[in-house]
Amino acid sequence: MTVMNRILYLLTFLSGLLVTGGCQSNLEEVPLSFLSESNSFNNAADATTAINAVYDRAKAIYQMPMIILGDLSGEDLWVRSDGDPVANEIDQFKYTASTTYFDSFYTNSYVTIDRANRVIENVPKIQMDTKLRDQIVGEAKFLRALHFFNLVQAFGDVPLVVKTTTDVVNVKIPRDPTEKVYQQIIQDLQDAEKVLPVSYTAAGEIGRATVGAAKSILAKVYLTRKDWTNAATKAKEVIDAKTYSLVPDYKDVFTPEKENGPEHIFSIQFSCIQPKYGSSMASNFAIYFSYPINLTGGSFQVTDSYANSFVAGDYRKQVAVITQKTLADGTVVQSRTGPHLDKYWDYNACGSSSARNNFLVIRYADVLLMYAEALNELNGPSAEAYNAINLVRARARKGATTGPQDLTGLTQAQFRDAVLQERSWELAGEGHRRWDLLRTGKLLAAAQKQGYAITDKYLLFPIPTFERDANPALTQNPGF
Amino acid sequence: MKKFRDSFPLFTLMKLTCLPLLITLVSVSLTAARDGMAQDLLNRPISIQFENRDLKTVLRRLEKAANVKFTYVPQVVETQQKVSVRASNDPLETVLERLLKPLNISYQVSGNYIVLRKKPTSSAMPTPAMMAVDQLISGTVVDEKGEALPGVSVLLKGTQRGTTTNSQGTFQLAVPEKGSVLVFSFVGYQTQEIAIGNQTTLSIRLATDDKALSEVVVIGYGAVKKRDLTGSVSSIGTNELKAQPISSFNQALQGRVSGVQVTNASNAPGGGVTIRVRGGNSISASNDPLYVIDGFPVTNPASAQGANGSANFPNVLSTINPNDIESIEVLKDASATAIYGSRGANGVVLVTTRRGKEGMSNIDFEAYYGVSNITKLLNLATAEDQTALKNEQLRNLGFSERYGYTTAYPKKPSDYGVGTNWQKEIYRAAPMQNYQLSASGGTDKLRYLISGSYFNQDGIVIANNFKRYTGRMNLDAKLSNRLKIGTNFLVTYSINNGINEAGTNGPVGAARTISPASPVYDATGNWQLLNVGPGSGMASIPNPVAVLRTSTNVLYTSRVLGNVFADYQILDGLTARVSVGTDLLTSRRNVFYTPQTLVANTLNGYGSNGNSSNVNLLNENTLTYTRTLNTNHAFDIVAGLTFQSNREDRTYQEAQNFANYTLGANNLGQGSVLIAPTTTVQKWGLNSYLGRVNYRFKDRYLFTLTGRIDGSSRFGTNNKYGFFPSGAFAWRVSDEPFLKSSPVVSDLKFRLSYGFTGNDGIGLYNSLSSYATSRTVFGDTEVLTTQASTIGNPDLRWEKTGQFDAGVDLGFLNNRFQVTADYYIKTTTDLLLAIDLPATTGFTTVTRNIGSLQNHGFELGISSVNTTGQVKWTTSGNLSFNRNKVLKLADADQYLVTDPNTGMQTIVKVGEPIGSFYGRVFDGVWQSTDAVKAAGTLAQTGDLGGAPRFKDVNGDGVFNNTTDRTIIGNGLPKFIYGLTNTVSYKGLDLSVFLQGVQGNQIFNYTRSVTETDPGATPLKSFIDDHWQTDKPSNNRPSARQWNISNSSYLIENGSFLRLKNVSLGYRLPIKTKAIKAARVYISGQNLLTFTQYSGYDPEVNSNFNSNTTYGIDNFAYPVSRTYTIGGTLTF
Repeated sequence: MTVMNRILYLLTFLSGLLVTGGCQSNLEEVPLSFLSESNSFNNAADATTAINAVYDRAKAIYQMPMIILGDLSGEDLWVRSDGDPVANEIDQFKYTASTTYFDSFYTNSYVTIDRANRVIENVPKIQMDTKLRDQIVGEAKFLRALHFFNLVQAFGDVPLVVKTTTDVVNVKIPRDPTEKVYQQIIQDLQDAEKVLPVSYTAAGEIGRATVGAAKSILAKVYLTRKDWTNAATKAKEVIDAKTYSLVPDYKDVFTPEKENGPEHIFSIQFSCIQPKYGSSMASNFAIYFSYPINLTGGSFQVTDSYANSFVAGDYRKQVAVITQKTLADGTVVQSRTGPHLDKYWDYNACGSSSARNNFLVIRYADVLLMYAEALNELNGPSAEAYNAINLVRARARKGATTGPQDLTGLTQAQFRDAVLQERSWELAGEGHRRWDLLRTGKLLAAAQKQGYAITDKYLLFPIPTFERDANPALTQNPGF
Repeated sequence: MKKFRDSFPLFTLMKLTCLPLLITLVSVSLTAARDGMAQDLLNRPISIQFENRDLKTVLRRLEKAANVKFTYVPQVVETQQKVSVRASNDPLETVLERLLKPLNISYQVSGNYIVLRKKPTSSAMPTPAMMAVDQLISGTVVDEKGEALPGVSVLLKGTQRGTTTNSQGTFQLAVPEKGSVLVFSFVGYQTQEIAIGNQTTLSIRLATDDKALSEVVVIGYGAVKKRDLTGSVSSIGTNELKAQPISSFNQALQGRVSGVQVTNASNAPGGGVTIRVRGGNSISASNDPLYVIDGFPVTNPASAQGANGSANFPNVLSTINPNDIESIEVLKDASATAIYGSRGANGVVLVTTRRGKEGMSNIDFEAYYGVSNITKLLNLATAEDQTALKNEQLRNLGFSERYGYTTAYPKKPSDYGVGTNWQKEIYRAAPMQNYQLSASGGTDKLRYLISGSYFNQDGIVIANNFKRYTGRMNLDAKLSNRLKIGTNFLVTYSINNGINEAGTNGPVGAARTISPASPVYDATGNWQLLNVGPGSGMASIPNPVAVLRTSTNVLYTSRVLGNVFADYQILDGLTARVSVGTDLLTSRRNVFYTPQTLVANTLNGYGSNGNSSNVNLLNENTLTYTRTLNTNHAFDIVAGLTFQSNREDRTYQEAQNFANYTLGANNLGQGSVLIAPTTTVQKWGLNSYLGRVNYRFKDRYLFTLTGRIDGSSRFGTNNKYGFFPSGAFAWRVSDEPFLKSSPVVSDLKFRLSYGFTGNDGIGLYNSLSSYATSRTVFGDTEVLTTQASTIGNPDLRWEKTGQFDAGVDLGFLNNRFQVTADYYIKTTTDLLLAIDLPATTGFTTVTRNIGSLQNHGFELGISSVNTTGQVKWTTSGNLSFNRNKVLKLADADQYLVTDPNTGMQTIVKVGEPIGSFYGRVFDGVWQSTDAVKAAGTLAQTGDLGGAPRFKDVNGDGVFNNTTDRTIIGNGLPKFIYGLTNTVSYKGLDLSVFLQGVQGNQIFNYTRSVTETDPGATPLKSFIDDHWQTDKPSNNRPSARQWNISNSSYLIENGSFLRLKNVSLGYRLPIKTKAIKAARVYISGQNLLTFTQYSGYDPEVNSNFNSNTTYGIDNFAYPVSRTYTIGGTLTF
């Protein structure tokens, strides 16, 4: 080999070093087993999986978080401090802006809203059956409205985000006035009620939002805004549609085997086909020292005053308030920490914190009571108003003569109190009490009755510190 | 240029493919880098001019010019013949070629000697008769182990007369009759002089050269003499590797190398190891060093997935047979690691496997057999203690007692007695064995090493076993004087019968916590399913024996790791090397639980099957250029271009409800409930350009400049390429005239280096937005969901570490005592952190390069030859300090990390080391309810006499669980150390190895589980020392359900000193025709541990992949004491 030859080889080699274009594709990162922004909304199936994801994320709130925020700061429930010290802070009005449940409630609401926004933005661009397309967008609007409704009730003014965020650097998003948020909520629900179906029959669809669900939530929004006429109208539309009815046995409202029954207007779906699909209410409310094999049991209980508030013979107390429980193997366990709420017990639970119970977002009894409330505020206790509340009371007698009797002859104020009391008996532990008390202006009085001398600042929850750190444009609610 | 390229269609090809240069070039270099020495000598520049002078004169002149010595048998090599030669700054090699070839004389380099031989084609070797006046001496030269040494230079002192030993290590030399002295010299060995006297047959044993300065150290893409090293590099050799019965080579680094902390996270055979070189640089990316095996940077992908409750920590590096390894080098400072660019920040571990040596043809059989036992059994509460404690707790809570009081449990605690000793049920004496057969040798054309091994180790936990089969073939072939080719090739298959190592669901945790009142079998002879029984008040803990006996958790791993390379010498001093390699790693995990285990009791059989396949391709192309301009200037230059790509495919499926359990996970189709499978595919690619210049001025001032440009698919589109430069300077003071003749200081070198390296262990696809697919339910019907899961960050890039290192190498008294000390500061910036996003964006976090931290430390390595002669005693030791400090975080100046398995919280806080334990300060026990009342808000609601008392840390007069917390310890040690003493006498050698860790804390989660509620079994010491009304204690609270989690109550001192290994070997004085050498040895591993830790062992790091929680004991697999007996036979 001549020297020239060697030099040629050397040059070839050095040129090789300079050929930087040789392997550019080696540096391109193309996802192979997950989807990216560009290929996630192509067809009807994509639209369905995208809306499913919104429902799925709603589970983050519609389990214990909704009960902790909605019930604990009411008067019916309490939580043992050894079981959940953070929830206990909420129960006892000792919370601060750092209390973690606020952040998770806020965060999960917005993540769900973002998923809904993605559906609302992208699904209309898909070439697919227009009816299904509109329905899916309607479902997304329903879920978005539901979450904004929770947010305004909990925090007051909140950022109204109705578009997908793409910029992650300029993330200072200020709060919008409650009024503006409510306009969007109402608009979304009105859009939804036009396109949602009356019911679903196919497996894998039962549990989706219906026109009844949209109308019922809309009724509650109007009621909260003291728009009595519209509230009554919407509630009446639900009642008149005769899609729903009270199940004869109050117990069956909560039996996992009877989920998605005639009374259930909208429930967040849980299942035990795998433990990961189960809900956590059962274990949290389970009678102490017993659930399901040997665990320490749930720390969420009803207060003694709630247990004692029932009139004699109220079947609902028999169903829902217990101090002992018969386990699957026949063992009887006694509560050692006072009365428990027994709405969520599941003999066929699939894990220590996983059971079949759906979360009941809204059910027919609630609509009847809302109707009664709205009518009373409009015109005082009318026959129709009495009829609505007495339907609920009649079921609570379960055919007996004792128990809650039909109401009659009340003043408007007495009727208002009666509805609020009825809601407590009927709906305790289902995530409603705080909002009911707020709506009726009774929250401070109820807390004071329990011995918590609280001020106006507790009418709104604090904006989570964590969020304010990440988004400096967020102001804090007064007092926090 | 354009024209030139057009004339080469290959360039077009290169644009499209990634292995261009193999085709364009057939090339060469330093075969194994260790051969660099001879080349170095032959490259020395020579300028001479002779006309018609005798060869002897010319050789003498060359000796001076090139600083070499020629050695030859004068009767054979006729030095009187007249020659002419002319050279002007030509390498010695060229001059010799010109000079000797026409004379039919061949040469061979041996150390500083060049041995001249008459080529065999010429006249035959002169017979002894021809040398009448001389006497013929013959002899054998062997090394310390008694193995023949070929190529040893034998020189008659004061003359040019000499020879070299042949492949059997023997020589013949004619010498004058009286007063002759022979000088034996060989690279890496001490030169020996022997006065012949009246002997005619000599037997010479050469001792290894402890100066070791001429030893060659492997660095990235090359090798240098230790004396020329400018960076901080530590090495260990075969002695340290073979002394211990280990399943993976990285365990051998423990205590042997300064600056490297090795923690066995699991002591199961083939179990995981945490290795940190000079501390952890990262909070969220990988802190593991880069492993480079025979030049191949390997990745260590996670092994195949298993079902819930099968978690364990296999070590993928256990696929490499430690016995195949020649040496391990750890590159520590930036000067050494920058050549690995974006992968160098965590240090680099270079593994060099054994290769065949020229001349020797050996067959080695190595075997050892050992037995392991748990080092200690804990003294746990008995069945009586525990049931009594349960009763006591119920009493304390105001409930009625259970044992002896209820119909379900009529037996009184005293009737339960000692109960089941669960530790004895699951721990056993576990045998281990290793067999290896290897053949090695070679000629100057072909060198080979072929080995096969079988390793089988039982775990000390029943049903736990690790088996490994490996085969290796390393070949080097010299096709011509310019072209060499070779291969490194490994095939391995291992079977790891693992156990679940996650907390109390795993056998170790279950045996530690399950009640001794629970029998192994129930009354009907079946496995006891529930702890004691239904309604027993005991925690839900699986029967560990049932789990071990009835479930399967096997990981099958196979690996083919190989490369082929070609070295081509283009010009004198300029060599090109092309190598192409692949690492094929596949693993499969089968898991099956029968209903006799708690986890599958209601599922009627539960099985899973996970597969992982990882294909890594590598092409490296380097040029090396070595040139010495004159005595003042010398250069070594490396430049290269490398491509690496990796694809990982993973699949996982599980099934439940089996009609028949015999086939288990081998046939998941037998399950009637099939869970949807998951599959993932990931790819990454790395294109790199690297270069290094070593420049030596006057052989005393050494400079190194290194740089690498890495383009990586992991980086965001805005930051595809990173540049990682480093520079180093070393001054060999001992070669300065004023110190050169010092009788005391034999070596003194100062080193300084600074440079930048990166950490690309930032995960894949993190710069992209992604949508994830999962499932949810409507009613009882499963449906698919698709949702946005991450938000993209096109600016994402590597984490960057700038490191300063100042070191000194010092040797005294002819290097009998050597000290290496280094001080370093590493500052890592661009730390990858999850930045909180407002939830209104729909995301909670985005990953960005924000944050920085610092490690600084001091390392000391010493070695000394304490005695020489008959009894040779050497000591080597190392001591390393590292301090870690967070400098900057993203949004806040601190955040808490909760260990997912134990709930322990650690804090990442500016100004503090990463991952300090953060919690409440235990301050004794409330002695009475009155004391609680008197303390007012300093006590917690519900506190009574016997409750644990915690400090009001912020001093506001109110104890609050969330605000009265502080740093209560840290899992990172203040310093670590190792000390090895070896003594040899004749054929006996004894080695004693001590290793220790000082100043760290352990979060003992096992006590959290067992001392919160008597539903789990506490230590006997808790029984004796807990607070009771009539027997108060200030150390342990009463039996109730006090919350002791996240508090200093569970923090223990983690310091320990361990007698890690003692081994005694004997070289049998057998010498037959068949057996060249034989050695037997006995050794003991983990013989003694001095510690205050109350658990099994203080060397623990249960969450071993975490950077932020270090030193948690979540029922870790205990360490074992192993005695082995073994031997080596060389044929």
